[in-house]
Amino acid sequence: MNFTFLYALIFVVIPLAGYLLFAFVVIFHIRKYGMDKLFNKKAILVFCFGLVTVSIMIVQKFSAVNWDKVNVTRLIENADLNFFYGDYDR
Amino acid sequence: METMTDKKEFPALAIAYRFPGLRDNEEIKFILRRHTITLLPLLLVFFFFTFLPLAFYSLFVPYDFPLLAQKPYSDIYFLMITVYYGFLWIIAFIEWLDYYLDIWIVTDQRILNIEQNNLFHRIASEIDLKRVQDISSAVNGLLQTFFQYGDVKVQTASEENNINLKQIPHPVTVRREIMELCKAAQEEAGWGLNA
Repeated sequence: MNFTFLYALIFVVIPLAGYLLFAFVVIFHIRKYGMDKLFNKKAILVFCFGLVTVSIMIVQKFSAVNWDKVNVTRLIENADLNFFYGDYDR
Repeated sequence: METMTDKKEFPALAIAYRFPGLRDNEEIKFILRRHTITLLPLLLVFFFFTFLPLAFYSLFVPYDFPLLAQKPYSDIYFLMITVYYGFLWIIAFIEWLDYYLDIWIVTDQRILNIEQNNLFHRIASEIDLKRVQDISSAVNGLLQTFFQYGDVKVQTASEENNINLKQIPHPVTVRREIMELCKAAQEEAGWGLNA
């Protein structure tokens, strides 16, 4: 069964939609309440530059993963669950 | 009268800023924010959370999650870190916004206090300089003494309508300047400062 669409939704679509939503709110606040017009522009540029860079990296990294080989069940089974329960004798 | 906007530590703030509620005969004397050093704890927390997933990967993954160190799972881990960094960037920016939008504007007529408590909680209040009764400044602790910042409390006869300028740079100079402005405003109105 191919879960690539589901992975794309979890790792790309939802985060990018979240970034976009937060970006609108933050930019709205700077533009509405920030008192220095020139500084507001710089702040928005820096903020957007950071978000765009991260978004491009997400798309790149998502494309680099071979999703056909991903088996989440195997990943969970392989994990040493004592990590969560505190294995002090390790 | 020489104002702090003419001095080196407050470079031409009034010129650079726009202030929509400014009255026709009102002049901005200075605009104050918390000292930039107050961002240091936030910066440290930000750095901690930046290196946390990388530290987790190098310290715990090889022993507790060996499969996560192999491809394609390692790629997924770094994809998740990138998503996490995006949200960290937004949170850091929101925190910075909280600092940037906290502002005190002193004009020749009033003191405006604008506080951004969180993203959707904004408080604005003002005190007429003529009504100011007492002004006090406090520099508390090693860090405040070393970096020359502290609090200035501006009080009126009303207990509720007081303004506390928190962690501002050069509190003693600010107190003196506000005192001068109050004297001028009260002399103009024919009153006297009770400080």
